[in-house]
Amino acid sequence: MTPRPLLARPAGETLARVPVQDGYRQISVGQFCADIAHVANQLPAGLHVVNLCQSRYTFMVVFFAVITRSQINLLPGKRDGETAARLRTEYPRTTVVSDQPLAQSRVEADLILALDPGSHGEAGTFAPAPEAVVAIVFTSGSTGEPQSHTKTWAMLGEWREVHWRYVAHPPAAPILLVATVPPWHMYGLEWTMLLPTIAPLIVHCGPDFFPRDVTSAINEFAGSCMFVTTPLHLRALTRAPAPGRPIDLVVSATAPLEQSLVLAAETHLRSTVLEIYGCSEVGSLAYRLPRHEANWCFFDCFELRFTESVVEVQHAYLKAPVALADLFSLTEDGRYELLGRTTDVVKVGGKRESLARLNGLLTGIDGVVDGAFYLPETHDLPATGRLGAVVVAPDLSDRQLRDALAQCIDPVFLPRPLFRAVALPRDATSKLQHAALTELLAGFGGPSG
Amino acid sequence: MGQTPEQGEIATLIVEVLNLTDVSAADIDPEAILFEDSGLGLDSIDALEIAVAIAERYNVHISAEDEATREIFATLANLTAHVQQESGVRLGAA
Repeated sequence: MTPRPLLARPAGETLARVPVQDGYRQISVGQFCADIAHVANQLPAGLHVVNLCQSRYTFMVVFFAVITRSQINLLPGKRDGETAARLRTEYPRTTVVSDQPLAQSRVEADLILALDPGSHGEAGTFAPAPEAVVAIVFTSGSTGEPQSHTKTWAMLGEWREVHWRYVAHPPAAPILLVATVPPWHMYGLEWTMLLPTIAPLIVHCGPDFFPRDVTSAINEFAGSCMFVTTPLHLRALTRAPAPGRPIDLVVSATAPLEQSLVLAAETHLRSTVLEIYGCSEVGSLAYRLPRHEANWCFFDCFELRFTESVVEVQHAYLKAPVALADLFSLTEDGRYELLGRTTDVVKVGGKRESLARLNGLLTGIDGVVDGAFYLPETHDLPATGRLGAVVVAPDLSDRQLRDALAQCIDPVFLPRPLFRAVALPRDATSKLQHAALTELLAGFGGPSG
Repeated sequence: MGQTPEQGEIATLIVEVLNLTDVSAADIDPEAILFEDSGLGLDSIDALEIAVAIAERYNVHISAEDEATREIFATLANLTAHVQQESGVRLGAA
């Protein structure tokens, strides 16, 4: 097998655009390689690097510099000093790298980087060994303990090519890539860090979060645009004033996209929406154009195995088949229909958690007699991107209940709305049936009360 | 604590858009930290929702490129002051 190079783009093409005081600094592929070499020289000898850089561009440079030093990127979801300190004890010879002092933390970074705009280095001919582990991605597992997923260069290097091949109607090059997804999340890693190493993309490296950030980034570029995002950010952008130019392609993943949002986004942003289905264990797995296609196509590099209760994904680069959290069935047109979840795992803000575990934490609070979390859209309520909960706790004030919850669960899972009830409508076997909960919730008059 | 009428208006907006059924708008301390582990425990998803609602209601568009964004979202008092300053009109007149 011919080793895949880290970068396969002409040195003169623009790869990134970094906001500076009075406009943007355009960064060529050649400059990017020089920056990688500059950072690689500063990295101490070691095995692992926790990359806590805030700037998307610096994060990207460090990510690839680590690979050129044959070290491994540790990419935790929680990006604070304490998490970095924990990884430093769990993984041998770990360096914590940041581009600024760690905020609100007693932990200090081992290396605070500053890029040198005048740096020069070798052009990117580096090709990592296919079997080299280049990154470990962490997800919040359904048991609450972060789970690690090892990524080899063979996987990431091949899959970026697969993804680009399947991008619907690639816009005319060069394409500005604006993203609201963080680069350390598997989806962000694939679509905002790896894709630009082979495709004619210019990564916009501003702090793109609010609709105004995205709109300004797009308005200030006279060419094609691609927006890599989540349903949450897409909904926000669709409610804001539209950019002055079309967004050629919107890529959305991490949570299901409602058809009404697809239609609104395509009209408002003058765009085509490509939806991606994936999981952190593997990465992007399937795609569809939700405006026209109800069913999914899996990327053809994967082999699917259907057992009675689960769909397993297999690939030569995966050590073992990966069981998906959702159930699919093969349809007549050779595509796959998404049937629903096989587990009670919910995903909020890119983090996964089991409803059963959340319910256990809720009912474990002193003073809580009974309680249940729910996903609004599964009970005919408008999707809010958050979980709701109904709680029976006659002796707790709202404040006490909220404080207790905040102490035991991740903030993204804090329920909104949080309804109080006298009792939950459990059946004879003490199960809370879906229909009974839906009826109870309807009685609260919907999420806005 | 004691909210000004303008702070009360923004507090009501926060409670409405975030479905904070367990918090009353009048109970939000203007100087208390809104986000992270203290105060209301709001997070960046909430900031996005609040920003979208403020844009829709007051035509004030918050940007993360603005260095002061963290400050703006720190407290109800700061957020209200920012909306007042940027909207150029008195809240309550909208």
